[in-house]
Amino acid sequence: MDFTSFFQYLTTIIPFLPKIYNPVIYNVSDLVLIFIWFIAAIISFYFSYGNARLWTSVSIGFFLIFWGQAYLLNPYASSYFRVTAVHTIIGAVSILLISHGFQEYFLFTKTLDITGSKRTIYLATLGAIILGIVFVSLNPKPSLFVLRNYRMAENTVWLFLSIVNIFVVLKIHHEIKGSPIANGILSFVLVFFFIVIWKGSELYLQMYQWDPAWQTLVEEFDFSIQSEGIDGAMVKIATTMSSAGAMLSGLSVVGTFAYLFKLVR
Amino acid sequence: MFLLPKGKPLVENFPIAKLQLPEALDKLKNGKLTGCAIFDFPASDCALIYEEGKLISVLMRRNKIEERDADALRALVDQIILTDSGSFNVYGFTKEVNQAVLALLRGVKVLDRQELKMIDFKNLRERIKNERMTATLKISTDQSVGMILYRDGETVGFFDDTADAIESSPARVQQIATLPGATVDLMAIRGSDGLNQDLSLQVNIRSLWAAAKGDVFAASEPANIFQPQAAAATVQPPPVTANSTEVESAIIAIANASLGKLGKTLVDKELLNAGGIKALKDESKLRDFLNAVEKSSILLASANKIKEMRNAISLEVEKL
Repeated sequence: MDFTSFFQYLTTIIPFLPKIYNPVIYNVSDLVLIFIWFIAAIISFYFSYGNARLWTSVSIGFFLIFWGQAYLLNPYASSYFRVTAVHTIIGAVSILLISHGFQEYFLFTKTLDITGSKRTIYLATLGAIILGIVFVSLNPKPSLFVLRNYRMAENTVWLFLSIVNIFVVLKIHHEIKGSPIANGILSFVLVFFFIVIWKGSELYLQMYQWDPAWQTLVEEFDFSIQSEGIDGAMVKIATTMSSAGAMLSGLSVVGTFAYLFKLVR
Repeated sequence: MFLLPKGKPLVENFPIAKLQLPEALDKLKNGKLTGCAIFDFPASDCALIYEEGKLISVLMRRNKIEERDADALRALVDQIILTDSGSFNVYGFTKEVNQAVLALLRGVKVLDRQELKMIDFKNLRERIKNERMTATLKISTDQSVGMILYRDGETVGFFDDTADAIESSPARVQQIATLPGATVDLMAIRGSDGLNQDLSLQVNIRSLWAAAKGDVFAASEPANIFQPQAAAATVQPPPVTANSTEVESAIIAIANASLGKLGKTLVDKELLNAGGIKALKDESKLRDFLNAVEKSSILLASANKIKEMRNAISLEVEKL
């Protein structure tokens, strides 16, 4: 879908926005994905309202995923490298927050204590993002190569924490078995499974330099580097798995929170 | 040990040593339980089947000897008094499954350890369907047991010795059926076999219990079998003030039913913080206790469920 004229119109009513010269075209699937994450962010936030603080961690985490995904649609995303790097850090912070929430839940099943305030979570999130901004500001302006490294680091964090979270959720389920909410919690295994598929296949493509970002660099800098096997079936499978994983993880988050709503009503 | 299908767990692994049988059975009756209560002793087992709060069947098995109904209830009281260890479990079933479980415990043996390979299984299923049997088909090997539960000839569930709940998929039972040496038992009941009796009206459990506990006055009461018609008028348990152990057990059972297995841990912890069950006589301590239980329950159950649990616990505490 072509959004060029929309953004050009935006630059006329908001004068400080830089002019748009390149066409702004989005895939429908990307828009659907962002919309799903938007719903997931709203529903998880709504669920956390008036609930224990661990749900605040989880909901801010899912909200930041939406934020990170939505930022990529911004036509200026590729023009401001420092901002893009900060958003990659925010992506890593989001899974850290979600993992923190589930680890607090597991701790709760062992101690049956709910401690700490929501304000701490908000402030810690803000602190982590500010730290990311300071880190990016103190270092040289990231190149496209550096941004790709940031993205790889983010995917690695996501992959390993999602695997850890699957085990944590299974442990929680074992501890709270028989409680009305147990099956709702178990649904998060599905969410993290899809995230593993999504982030894992993306990381796999990056490691073998089959990712679109690397191909752009090869074209831009006129490298004569050939990524061996780029036309192979594995690349097609990994690319499909990455897109499907992203879509299914968003959908499963929406479904899981809707199910949790039903269970706690 | 009985292998009975597991339904919705209402009480799990409650220590029999802490159990006050008359109160526990009253709760199952008043809670209109449809399901089974299982007493698991080291050398014997007893299963009680309830249908909407009516105690319709009791089976006690010890040293390969089976006792039923009133005799089984008397044996159960003796066993609880004599044994300190063992656990008490309660599972809720749908009415359909409950009748199939009843068939398993007291049904007529249509097939008795028949070798599966000698049976035309398709014909057997058609027979169950055509005769609208309410039955349990048990497939056993040396290692595994699977069950198919039927109500009026229709399959209502599957269960096996590795399952935690009644399943809708026949996969595991089919797998057991393919194992070498598999045998088949089919136990069936007709129509409303046994469904109309209420054994709790026929046997004065409270008297039996008091007598077994050594209460000479209660022992002098007739601890015999009442006629059902007379029972409704005569078996009215005297109003008793529950002791603190009974109230504590009841609160734990309520928390378990509302929050799952963490319910007991939560109540134990908060009772310790409150200074014991007797401290709950103090209104402010009770309020603090309920608030603390509610605060942690928010991560385990719905607001309505927590409210119900809170009210039920308050009612129990009033008995102190």
